[in-house]
Amino acid sequence: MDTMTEIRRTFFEECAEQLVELETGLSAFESGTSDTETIGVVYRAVHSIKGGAGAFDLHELVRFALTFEKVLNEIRSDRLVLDAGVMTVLRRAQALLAQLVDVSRDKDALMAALRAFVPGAEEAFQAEQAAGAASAVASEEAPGAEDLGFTPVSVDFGTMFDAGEQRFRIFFRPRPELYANANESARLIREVLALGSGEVACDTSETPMLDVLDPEGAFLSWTIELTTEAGESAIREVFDFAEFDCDLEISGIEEEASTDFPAFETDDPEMAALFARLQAAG
Amino acid sequence: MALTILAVDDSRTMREMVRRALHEAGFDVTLAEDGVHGLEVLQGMHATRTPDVIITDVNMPRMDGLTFIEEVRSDAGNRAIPILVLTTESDVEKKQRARRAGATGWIVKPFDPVKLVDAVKRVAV
Repeated sequence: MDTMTEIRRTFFEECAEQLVELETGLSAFESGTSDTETIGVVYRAVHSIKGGAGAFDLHELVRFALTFEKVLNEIRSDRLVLDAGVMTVLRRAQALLAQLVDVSRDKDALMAALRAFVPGAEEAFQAEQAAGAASAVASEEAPGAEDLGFTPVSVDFGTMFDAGEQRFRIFFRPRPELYANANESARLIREVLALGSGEVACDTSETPMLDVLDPEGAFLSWTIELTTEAGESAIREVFDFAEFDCDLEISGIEEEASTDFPAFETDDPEMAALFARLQAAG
Repeated sequence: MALTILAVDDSRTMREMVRRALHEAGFDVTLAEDGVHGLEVLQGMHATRTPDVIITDVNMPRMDGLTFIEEVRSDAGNRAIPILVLTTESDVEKKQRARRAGATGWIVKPFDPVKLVDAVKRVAV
């Protein structure tokens, strides 16, 4: 048995345990016990099933458990009163959740058993699977190439404007919380520089004298001028864990346009006046 | 030397998936079942080798992940340990709560094993 099959089996064993917890919790609700701990048990049972189901792409089970979980969160947050009507719906949801777990666990194996009774069904199924996989690969490689007479290139609109080498100025000022949460400026700056090439300037002007320096404070800031093909979104990704704990400004650096006007000589006073105005306007 | 990771999750399924992903990347992995167990295991690890990174679930019995992080951070000796939160919830409010508790970063479940390993490498200075 491969590792994923083994983990999948563990998941369904845990589902069975969580369904028992769910039953215990709902029975307690019906007996009038709906304290924080009991609600927590019920919530975690559904939440755990949802979390594991996501790992195995059991989309229908995830969707249902997510909705169930949201209702339990409303109860947990005292926004929904646990009356007889709500209880009836929770019991129905519990039953359906158990059925979805059964279906998710048994569907593939049972379909294989059914195919075994029909001559050629397994072979047809395998061929269909192989064709589906090949089709998926082909459509990823060149969607519709045979009809169009050229090989289309897929375009990611999220990154298409990041293409080409660009220069950015990144201002980064960590707050004390960044260090308190075990983030590290040097690591973040290294990650930024790994996106291309650049220069880093550290501003130490806010650093107090040693006798008044708070050792848990944050006094340094950095300006990085980066040349990269990665784009602004990649730079922001570097700071995703630190986004709430720093000041971050990212701006593109344009090549400075020349404001020097070429020499212009004319005997026409109107043209001379116009040129003078243009020069004055810069 | 291989990075040492402490992973805390009440789900056996998740613990095994995390262990497998990190072990295949060459990390040493120690597991705990909830926040209380996580603190006990962490205490024991200090005697041998403090973890380079802690990964924790949020919703757990006995002690949830956010309380666990606060407890870990309350010991000055643990303040430099990066802590990643493994969560099914990705909205800003949940991230802010994790951050306020002392989390270094977060990984959204279901997780891509490659991204999990990348996140660990990113925070392990």
